[in-house]
Amino acid sequence: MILPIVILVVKIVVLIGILMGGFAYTMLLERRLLGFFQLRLGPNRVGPAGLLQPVADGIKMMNKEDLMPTAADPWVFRLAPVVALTAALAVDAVVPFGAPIHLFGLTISLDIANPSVGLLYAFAFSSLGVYGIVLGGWASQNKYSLLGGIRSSAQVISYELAMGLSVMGVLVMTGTANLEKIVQWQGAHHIWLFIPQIIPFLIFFFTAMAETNRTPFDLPEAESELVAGYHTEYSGIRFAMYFIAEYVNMITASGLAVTLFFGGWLGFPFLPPIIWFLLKVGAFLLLFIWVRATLPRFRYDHLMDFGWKVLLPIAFVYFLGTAAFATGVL
Amino acid sequence: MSGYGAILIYVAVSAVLAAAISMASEIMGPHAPGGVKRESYESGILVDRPLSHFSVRFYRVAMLFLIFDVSVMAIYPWATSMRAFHAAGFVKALFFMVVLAVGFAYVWRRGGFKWD
Amino acid sequence: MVIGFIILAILALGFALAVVLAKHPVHSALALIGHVVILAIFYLLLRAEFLAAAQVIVYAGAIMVLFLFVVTLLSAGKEDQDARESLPAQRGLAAFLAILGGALLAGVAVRVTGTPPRGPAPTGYGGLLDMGRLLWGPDFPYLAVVALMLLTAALGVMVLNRPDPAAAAVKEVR
Repeated sequence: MILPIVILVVKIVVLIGILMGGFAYTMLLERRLLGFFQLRLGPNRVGPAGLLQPVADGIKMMNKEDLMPTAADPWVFRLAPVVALTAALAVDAVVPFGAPIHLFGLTISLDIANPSVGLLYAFAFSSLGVYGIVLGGWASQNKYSLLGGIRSSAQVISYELAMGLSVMGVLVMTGTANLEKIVQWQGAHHIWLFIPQIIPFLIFFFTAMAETNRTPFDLPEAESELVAGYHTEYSGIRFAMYFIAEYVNMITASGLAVTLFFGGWLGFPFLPPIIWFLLKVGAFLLLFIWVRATLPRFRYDHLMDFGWKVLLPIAFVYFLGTAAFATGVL
Repeated sequence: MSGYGAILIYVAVSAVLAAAISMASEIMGPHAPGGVKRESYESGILVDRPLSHFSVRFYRVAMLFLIFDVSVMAIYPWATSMRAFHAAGFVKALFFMVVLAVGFAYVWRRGGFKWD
Repeated sequence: MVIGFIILAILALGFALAVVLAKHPVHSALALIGHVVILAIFYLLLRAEFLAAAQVIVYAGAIMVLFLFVVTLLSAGKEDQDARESLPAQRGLAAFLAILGGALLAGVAVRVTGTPPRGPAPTGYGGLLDMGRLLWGPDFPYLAVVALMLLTAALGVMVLNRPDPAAAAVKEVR
């Protein structure tokens, strides 16, 4: 009775540690890489090669004065960043970080739980994440914030459908929505699902970028037109929390893409499975950063058109094609 | 079932952690009221109310999303259990898909996704 | 299990009361989101996993976003708060009807007691596979009707959103 509780506590601590540490060093990596992309060095003064920069940033942010506009709704203003970060952290509960390990005669799977509807669980929490942004935008009672919040939710709901349809092919081929079983299927059939499902994978990747509000889909905080979008009025650690949420969402999206399309923890046996998983997630994070350094921002009408008129129909047709193959019609 | 208990505990821990982090500046940061720092940021142009009305396109997108989201939710179980149905099941399911596609095409044709 | 149910029931009632009592429409909408999420946990207690996920994705993720759009945009100014009520007796009447409705429901719930299912639920109960086999197998006619209803809804959205020809003409003149 005691042992499962201890294991759960250890898992929770390790997972939150990985996500928060992952946030801190993805952010540092992004700032340094963006520096190199722009022929400068990026932050390299705090600690060796700038490795202590996230710590310094954290301390600085916590010791800033917390400002709230007099017009703001105080409780919703406080609640919004908490919602954003909680939803971002919660999605990761079902992402398997490695093959189940055997310890003291127990089989321990490397996720908090893997329910049979794991993928839908992840979608459910990521659909709650948008409230952090909408509420923050509304509670600030500022026109730029409100515009950012409304834009964000319109964008997220426009891309969520294409994202849902893009994973259907995976469900058809594996016959389960349990993320651990999806990885095991890929291991048993010796194929990573991005090979038969390359177009749905690309759609998933685009929609994941849109849902995490990353460039080129960062319209909600477009600084050239909306000052800073939904977090214009935020300061101190609450301002930082929106960034924590964004980076944790990036890690989650990468983790889901790896699990669904790139064989999760599978890899050659000279490295342990969890290292393979983290390496693949790291590769995706690099891709996110590279895209940000390369592409300009979408115009808003192009962004909506791209979601509804391009990604959604293609995902739908590809899913029907996969279904026709799986049922033996074609 | 215990799986969901574990998730519930994890989400609760995340929420408490997030709430604790969010109070850090309010507790540790300086409190120096005064000046204009608590006024809304408005690029120097003061208005008494932020926004009073909004384009109807946003409502339209939200409603269309709702309609197609329900359809997609219905498709998840089919995608997962597809192997149980074979070709006959696919043909039957095509009815649903065609109705969905007709609705989508109609909205597209009537400019429902137009954003200008 | 029973303790969990009681805690959830209190939370659900609390959120439901907050929806009615909150002064600002956005706070009401927030409480409604909380209520919807608690309902999803109720479904989990009944082992309806798919329904719980669908509840959060559709209600909290889609319907409430629509609500929030309307509420945040319409109530961007705070002056709506102190609007006078035009029907003086409506609060009393509403309370009376609510209590009546609640009493009726409670009466039905107490009188009609089905036999509780014995033993643990079969494996896979309430999951995606079982739902798919039912929904797209013998129960497909219902789903077909739902598809037609959704088509009607899409039609309705487009008709309601059609710009008023008179207003469009005025805009042209300007």
